[in-house]
Amino acid sequence: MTVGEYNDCVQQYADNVYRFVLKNIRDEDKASDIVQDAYERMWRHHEKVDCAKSKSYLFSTAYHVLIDHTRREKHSVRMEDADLQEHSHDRQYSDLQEVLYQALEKLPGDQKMVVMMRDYEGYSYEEIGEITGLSESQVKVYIYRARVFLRNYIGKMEVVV
Amino acid sequence: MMGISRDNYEVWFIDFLDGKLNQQAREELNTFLQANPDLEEELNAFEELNLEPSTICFDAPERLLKGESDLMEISRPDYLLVKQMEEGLSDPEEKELAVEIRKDESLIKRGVEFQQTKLSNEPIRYNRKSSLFQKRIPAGWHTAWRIGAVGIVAGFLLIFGDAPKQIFNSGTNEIVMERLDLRPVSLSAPNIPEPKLAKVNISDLANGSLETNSVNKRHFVKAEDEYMMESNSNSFIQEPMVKLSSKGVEMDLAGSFPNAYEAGLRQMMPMYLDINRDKNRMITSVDSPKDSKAQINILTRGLQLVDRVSGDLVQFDKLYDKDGNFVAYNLKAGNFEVERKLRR
Repeated sequence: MTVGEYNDCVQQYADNVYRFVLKNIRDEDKASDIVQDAYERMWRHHEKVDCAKSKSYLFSTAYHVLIDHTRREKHSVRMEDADLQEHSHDRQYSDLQEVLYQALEKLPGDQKMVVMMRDYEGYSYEEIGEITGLSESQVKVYIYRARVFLRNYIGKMEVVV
Repeated sequence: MMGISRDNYEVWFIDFLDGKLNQQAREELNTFLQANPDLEEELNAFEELNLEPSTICFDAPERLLKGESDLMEISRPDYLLVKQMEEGLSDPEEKELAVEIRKDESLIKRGVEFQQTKLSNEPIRYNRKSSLFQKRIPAGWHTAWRIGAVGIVAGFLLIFGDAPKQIFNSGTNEIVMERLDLRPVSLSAPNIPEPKLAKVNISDLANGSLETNSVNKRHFVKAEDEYMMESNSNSFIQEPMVKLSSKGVEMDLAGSFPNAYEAGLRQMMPMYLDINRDKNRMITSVDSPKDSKAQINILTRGLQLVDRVSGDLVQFDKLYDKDGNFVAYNLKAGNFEVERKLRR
């Protein structure tokens, strides 16, 4: 990867990586630090990094940092343990995305991240598998389960469709 | 096999039904049945119990099959709805979903809700993007930079004189300070030709006729025991040594011929006085009146200015040789201390 290609990566993907990280940890400073670290790491290895896979490299780096961060923070809730009943109330949400992001916060970290990669970046299951180190089938399972959880959450919130 | 009787006829009957009896056994069985017609009826009843294989089969084996929905632990309709949104359904799956929807029309609403779980892009910008860019460094930039730096240094040396050069080169061209020459007490006649080496005998001194030898490069002083003093300097100024008048000796001693101690003292004392007189100059002085204009340049003045302005923080002392040449300097600032000698 040349300097120009690296700078193109900054121009094209910095916002995407930042959004991905920020949506996961909700801390702008930490998100910024993680983005910086990801790009510094890529620059240190820029001679070995294939330009075509630079985006995956960045997301992979950010993903593993986030996983470590999530495990440290231990604020994630296993989907199986999440009690949908406690999130149910009579409020009518006009902003569906607001409810959706609330539900997203309830997802386990790995499921949340694969859903974000899928929806935000449009990655295929195979690409997500390469980034996360999960098998393709495992990625698919995570996404399907996450969809069901999100739908059930939205349904419980009695969102006006 | 034992002969058939009313005690073992059941075994014979079973073997007959299984077709295990040979011709002789079948004939014996027929004879027995003719003698026992009640048992013949019983055998006929056995033959009616023959079971025919039926064509019964499990009507819904597909219910035992496992699919991806089972792997994901979600219901089949949900799986189909999510798959419809994620990847699209195959024809059999489309038909299966249509059947499911006909059974439960609420699946249509569920499908819409699944569609809403798709995250929409948000316009989030990374404001520190500029800090991530790497500068393009063209090939040969480092070489050009070095050449430029050398040019700047060379220009600096050309403009500001020799002092910086002396400082920069002092590490490789150190000048050893020479010990100042001994100079006898000048009593008269300051412009006496300079001898390279002088040999003085105390006997001559005693006679008052001190001679010098300007050919040799060594200077000897002899008494009864020979004392030798050596000087390698060419700048040694030899002046005619004059017998010191010693009133005390003349008064106290009967004769005019001094003893060895007095003779030695007379010879050594001028030298001793000379050494002490020039001691400060030999060691070099801090403030010399003979500052060389060539060596007082911008750099040294700058250092002096720093010395004055900084008070006790920085001490800068210039050292001079006997001719008043600026030959060395001491620079001390806190724990940092430099003592450098300059090339003459």
